[in-house]
Amino acid sequence: MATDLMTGAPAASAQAFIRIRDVHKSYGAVSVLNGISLDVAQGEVLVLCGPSGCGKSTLLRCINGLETINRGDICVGGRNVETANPDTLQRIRLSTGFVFQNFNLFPHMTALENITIAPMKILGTPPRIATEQGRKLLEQVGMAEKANVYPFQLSGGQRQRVAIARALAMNPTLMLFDEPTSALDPEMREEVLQVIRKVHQEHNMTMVVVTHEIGFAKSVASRAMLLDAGQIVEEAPARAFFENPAEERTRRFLRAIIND
Amino acid sequence: MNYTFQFGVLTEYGPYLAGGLWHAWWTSFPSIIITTILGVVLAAMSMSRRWLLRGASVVFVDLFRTLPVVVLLIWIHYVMPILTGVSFSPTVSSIIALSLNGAALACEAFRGGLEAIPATQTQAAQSLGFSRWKVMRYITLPQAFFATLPSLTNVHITVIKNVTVTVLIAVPEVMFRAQELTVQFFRPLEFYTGAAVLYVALIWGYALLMRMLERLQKWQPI
Repeated sequence: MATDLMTGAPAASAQAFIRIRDVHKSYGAVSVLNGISLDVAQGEVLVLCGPSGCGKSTLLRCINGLETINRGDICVGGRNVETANPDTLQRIRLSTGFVFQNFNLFPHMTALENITIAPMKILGTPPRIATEQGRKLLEQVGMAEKANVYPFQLSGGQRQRVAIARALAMNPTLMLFDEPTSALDPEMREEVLQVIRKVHQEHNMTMVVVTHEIGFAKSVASRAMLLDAGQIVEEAPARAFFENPAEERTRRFLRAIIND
Repeated sequence: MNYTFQFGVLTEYGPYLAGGLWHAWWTSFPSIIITTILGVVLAAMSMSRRWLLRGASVVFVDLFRTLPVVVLLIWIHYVMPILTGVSFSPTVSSIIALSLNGAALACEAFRGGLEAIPATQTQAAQSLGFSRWKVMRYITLPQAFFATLPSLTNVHITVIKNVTVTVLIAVPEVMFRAQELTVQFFRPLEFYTGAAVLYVALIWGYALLMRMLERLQKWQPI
């Protein structure tokens, strides 16, 4: 099955929510992605791993149109990201939530304002309703009592939970997580992973997660993938990928992150 | 030094001299407002994707920050009416000259503030669906405003100080009145010292006001 997806068999793309074909991306002379093809079905959770600099974050950013690609195709929900006009690109971004490694909360807004600004200013949601929704979301991520606190007063884990709520406020059908826990202290990681698990269970959302949290990946992900030097090395159902990898490169990588 | 100070003249004519502050303020205050608004617009233009807007901003800034204020003022008040047939009162000419000069300085201050906002803020906003204009309006400009406040205060102070050159086209502010009184009473030291004290008080008070504005910032950058 997995190999069918990688070779780009058209049959597999019929229900794919994200469809990536032969994507190449380079920064000047440095090539970051070297022919990536993959599909993500609706409701699926895909985990991307790989050594730093392997292109996993770049791939994620390309899916959201934050980076442009040099060659290939990326379609999200049937819309081509690369050829999209500003309106279509906005529609793709509206249906996609992005969670960054360094949270990127807006420092001049309180936790609640961080969550309500996009619904109010982009969707035109009335302030009263946006605030009500915002408080509900803060409750979902366990941050209800910090609604009126500014980001600089929050811990890393708390900031990331607010950032997740901010992304959820736009009711996305797809969530992209770019190493959501790697900037966090070990004890804060679990609180964030817990929230991501909960989001997955409650919304049954399509997710692409760049992470090295093996326990989390095994319990949430349907599939896992190793990227190295801008190429897909191995792709398998999550459990098989982490417990019984086929490739020597994957085994080496998993040993390295377990010993870490 | 065999000059005998007679500050007594100030008790009689001090109020008239200080009355010039009213004109100084009503020349500088509109200039400060226009300077700030135009500065923000020029800074936003300088970061546009359209080369025409970027180019217009560069030309404006380079022209008005290199033109000496006195030359600009005289040109607007005396030369432009000959060329265009449009003439302004001394106060309006002064406001135009001070605003054009101030806007060029304010643009550079705002641009510095905008460029200091990390690109990740723009990316976070774009990922939520913000357009380029809305990113500027709601995310980068509000953050840049507070980052720019200290240097914006300097720009405003420069604008207020420049009011003194309007003496050349007879705006009846403090310097003009000091000159007027000096000619009449031959007491230059008293009147010009009085003018100095009045300007220092005005600008010092303004700087204090701006420092209070800086304290309104409840958040910190992270």
